[in-house]
Amino acid sequence: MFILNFIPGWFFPALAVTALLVFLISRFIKLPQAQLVHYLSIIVFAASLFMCGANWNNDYWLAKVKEVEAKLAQSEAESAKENTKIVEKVVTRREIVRLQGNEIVKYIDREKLVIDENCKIPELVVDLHNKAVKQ
Amino acid sequence: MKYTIILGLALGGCATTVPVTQHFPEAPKPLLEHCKPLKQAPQAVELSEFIKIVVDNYTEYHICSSNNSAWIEWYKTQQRIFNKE
Repeated sequence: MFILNFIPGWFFPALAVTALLVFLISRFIKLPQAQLVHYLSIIVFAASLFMCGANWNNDYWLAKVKEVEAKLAQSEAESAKENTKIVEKVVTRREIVRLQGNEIVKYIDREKLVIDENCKIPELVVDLHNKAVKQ
Repeated sequence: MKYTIILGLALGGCATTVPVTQHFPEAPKPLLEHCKPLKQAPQAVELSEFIKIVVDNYTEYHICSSNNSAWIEWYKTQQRIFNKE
């Protein structure tokens, strides 16, 4: 309840106790307009008891919210940690793949004469390769 | 005026907001990169150059494949974290 944010927790129990005291006083001591005070104290007592319950319920749900917020913060931290691990793994894997590719290219450059010596690629082969690339 | 204030106070109790929101987990930036397009060979190319193009294309495939594996791992990890009590 929005309104409970502005009222201290002790207010409604204190009001209930006061209403009870007024009820008892109005019952045994003669006061001016005793009947009105008597019935008003019953209404105030019932309303303050209701608000005590509402306050307790509000506190209960606020505690739940805090609990969930703590869990979410923990999940986010864990998620970030796992992300870092995954990024490290991907970057390492990419580097390895690039290095291996470069090694092969270097080897091709070294053996260029041997590779190109007796082989001419028909244009059809290039066309087929490019077709496969375009897919 | 008096009744408006009473009504406002009474309806104030009905004001309910959802206080906790969970955000979609952020994906690692390297995984958000697209795969590079494969290279085509020019006509009348020498075999050594042709093989280099093929090697480059395989390299790109392996990089793309590692990205895909990382996505699967990311998804499974986030699912495990999300479903954890």
